[in-house]
Amino acid sequence: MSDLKQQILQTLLNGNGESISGDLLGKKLGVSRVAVWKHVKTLMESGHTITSSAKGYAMVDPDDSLLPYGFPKGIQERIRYYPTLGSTMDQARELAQRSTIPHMGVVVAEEQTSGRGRLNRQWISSRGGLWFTIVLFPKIPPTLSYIYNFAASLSLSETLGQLFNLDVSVKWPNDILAGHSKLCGLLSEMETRSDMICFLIIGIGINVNNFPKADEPGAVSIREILGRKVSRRDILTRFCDTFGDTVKQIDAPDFNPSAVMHRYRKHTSTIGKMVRIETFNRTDTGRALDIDDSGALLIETPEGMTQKVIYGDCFYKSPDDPQ
Amino acid sequence: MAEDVLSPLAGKIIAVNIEQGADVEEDEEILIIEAMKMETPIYAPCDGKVAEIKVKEGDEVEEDDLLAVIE
Repeated sequence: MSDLKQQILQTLLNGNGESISGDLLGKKLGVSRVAVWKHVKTLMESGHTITSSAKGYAMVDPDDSLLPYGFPKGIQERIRYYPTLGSTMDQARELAQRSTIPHMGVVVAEEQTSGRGRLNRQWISSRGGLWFTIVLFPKIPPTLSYIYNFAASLSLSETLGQLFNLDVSVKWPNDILAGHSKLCGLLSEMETRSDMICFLIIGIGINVNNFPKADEPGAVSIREILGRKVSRRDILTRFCDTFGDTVKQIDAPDFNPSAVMHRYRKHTSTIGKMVRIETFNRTDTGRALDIDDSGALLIETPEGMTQKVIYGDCFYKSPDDPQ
Repeated sequence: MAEDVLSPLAGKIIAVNIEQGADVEEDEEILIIEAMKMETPIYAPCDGKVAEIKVKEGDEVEEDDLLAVIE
């Protein structure tokens, strides 16, 4: 993006939603009113939420804006913002492969046109939600990589609990639930070469100010729970801080996975529940006994055997489900 | 010369993109393993022909299991 467009966005963001006239913008930036209009028009066409009125130009909902300049120093340098993307995962993978994004870099988009969940399932990501991918360049072996996913989901649970006093929990391994409804989903991809992790990307989708029910009946947004809009920037900022602290612990030389898993177990609602585990060729049921330090879910089967689960979709069974 | 493709971690094979005898290029995605919502694509270590595929979709693998041989 041109410097001038960046300056326009930054000025409008600092305007706190107040209109700024084309004349004033032009004077500030040393260009004509017509030049300002042309640039604003291009910005609007590329998906930036700017309104234009007789009084001038204004940014819609500046507190909610995900533009890098709105984030505190230390985070804004790592934000790669796009009004629209095919998928933040695809973009993050490309940036990671070219090493043009730092450790803990964040790729964020207002909307994804081909967002995806696991196994290439479609993931609906309309405007108002928070859709982002975190890029990590870990120094640990691939077998330990799971710890970042658990760290991310527990950090999300802490973030939403602290910011909005929401009663949220983590469903094994990484979904965030509010009550029985899905508030956030997480998936990740790892690239390895001969026993080393090249990079790990973690995609996170949070239903914030959107209304997800029409597309996914079992989902809910923060706005629906609280009855008001909230700032996606506050959520992403707090999450980057909380997750960043945990990642620092993981990256330390004396790291022990049990520290993270101990914290994770405080945030999960899975232990003790009757669960159904579905993979594409089998379904297992049982009572969730524990989640061990390797991230595996231990279930007690109806035959009384303990079974270790490391993949599959986990569903909580309700009492009226068929056995 | 044959190159073994080993599993970097325990998980489930969710995609097999190669067939026995097929030509592959170095860095071509040949398999995908999933564990705990993390997908790990496995790439061909070199140019060559698929001499053996040891796994199919749905198989469970452990760390260091032999997945395929490229020669």
